[in-house]
Amino acid sequence: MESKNKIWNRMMGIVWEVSYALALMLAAAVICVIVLLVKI
Amino acid sequence: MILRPRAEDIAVIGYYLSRIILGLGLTMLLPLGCAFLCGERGPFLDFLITVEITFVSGLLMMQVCRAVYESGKKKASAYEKSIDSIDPNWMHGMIMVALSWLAAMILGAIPLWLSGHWNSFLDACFDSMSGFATTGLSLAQDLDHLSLTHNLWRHFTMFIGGQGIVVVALSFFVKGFSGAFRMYVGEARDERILPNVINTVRFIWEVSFTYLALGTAALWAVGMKNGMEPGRALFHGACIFMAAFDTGGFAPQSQNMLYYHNYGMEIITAVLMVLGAVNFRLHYHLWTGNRRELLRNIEMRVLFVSILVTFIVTAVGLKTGGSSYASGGFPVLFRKGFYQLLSGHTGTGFMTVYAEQVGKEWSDLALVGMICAMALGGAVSSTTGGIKMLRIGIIAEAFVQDIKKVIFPSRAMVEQKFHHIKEVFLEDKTVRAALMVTLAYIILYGIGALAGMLCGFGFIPSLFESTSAAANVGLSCGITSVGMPAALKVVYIFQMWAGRLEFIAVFTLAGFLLAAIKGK
Repeated sequence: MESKNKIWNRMMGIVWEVSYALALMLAAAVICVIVLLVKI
Repeated sequence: MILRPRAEDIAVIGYYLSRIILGLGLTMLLPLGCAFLCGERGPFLDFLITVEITFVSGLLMMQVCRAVYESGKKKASAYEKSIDSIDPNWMHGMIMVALSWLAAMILGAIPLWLSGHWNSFLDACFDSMSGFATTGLSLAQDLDHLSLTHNLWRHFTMFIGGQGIVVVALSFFVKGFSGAFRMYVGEARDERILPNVINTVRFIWEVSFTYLALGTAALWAVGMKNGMEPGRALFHGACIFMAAFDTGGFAPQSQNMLYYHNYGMEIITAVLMVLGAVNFRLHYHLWTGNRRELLRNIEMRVLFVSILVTFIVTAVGLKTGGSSYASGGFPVLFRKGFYQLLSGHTGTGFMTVYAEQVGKEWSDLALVGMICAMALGGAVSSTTGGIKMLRIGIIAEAFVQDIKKVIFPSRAMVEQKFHHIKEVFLEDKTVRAALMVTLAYIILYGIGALAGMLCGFGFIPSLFESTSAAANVGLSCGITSVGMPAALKVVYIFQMWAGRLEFIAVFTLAGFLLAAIKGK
């Protein structure tokens, strides 16, 4: 049971870390669109 | 009065240095085995010679240092312990670390130099230090025809250097004494994840090997889908993983990531670069169920904001710079601009554009955005270089505290705190330490920029290349080349070394050498 919990925690940890990276890319994509739309 | 170091101090440093060298020799058995399995006779001999030199020099140094220590022990009864059981003090630990990185550079350069793909031993040392320090600048010639074994070694040096040479040595040879922590700290890893440094090292390996398996499998699959043969896709996947997660930036082909020109590869490596920039202590907390830490941690918040702000500067610079990026629209601006920015901020150095293109096509504003991103770096106790997010966060909090002191009534108690694994109250000594390291980095960036300008390059390109070397990034705007002056190569090697070790070990070595010369 303890071992199952450990593996689950590790898997969720990886999911959260990867989600952070993807969220960062998404935010950058939004910024990129804004930069392109705004006339500078 | 400065005291001259005793022979016993030198013996203790040399003894533990020899154990680190032997640990390094063991890592060279991997490329040796690869050469044997792939039937690459020339590379096999290159690595056989290097392994022999490494083991012989390590064992010889061990015996000499033991003999020096024993002879000192006979003269002074104060030395009752044997050299094996002596606990290195802070000075010993720091000097050992500084010297072990120089030893790794020289020994790691031998097989590269023997391959004939590097013009001189200095060039091979440049690439070796670039690999161990996870920088990614390269002076290799005809990289596309380099043997699999040498290519594996180049990327493996990044995997070793990313985890830390001392971490590797602790895993093999130097365990079970409290001096291990002093060496661990000397390697710019001032945060212990678990109470025991050996368990800390084991956890670092657990994270690295888990992502090695996942990352390599993902890159392998994309490589095969992209038309590569399974064996070649696996080799490229493993190499690219080591360079991405350890924020190194080498690639098996001379065109770097541009060679693949594949969305899948770029997305996977972008994720791996971010993962490499995460503090190993944070990895531990996320992997043991404390997932809210990701949202509350000061480093992750500062990293998120910092990447986006520097990207705005770079994107505006690219849009207004009149280059092909301005007319390329979203796919070009995001794919080229953000990838380079993320690569620079995380200290990786992967490029999907040519170095000359950056130097000639990118506007000054875009280059300044990139320079800021490279200078800031990732999280502390990660595989990245640069000033680091925790220090930037601490300095920002100190500014907020000072502003509050001005605004609030003079009798009000202003206490600033930040969240890094736990709630931490901001103290003057914490701010001072953060500012000292930040200042040291800025001076280091300046030294390289000055050296570049003395060699005839412009201010912005010189600062770009210098920041890239000192923050262990590896992006280039064209200055790093075989033809650049030897003095500039030496300056960049020094920057990579000092930047990776975050100065304290380097300053201790400088003080030790000064004491040896001027001491009484």
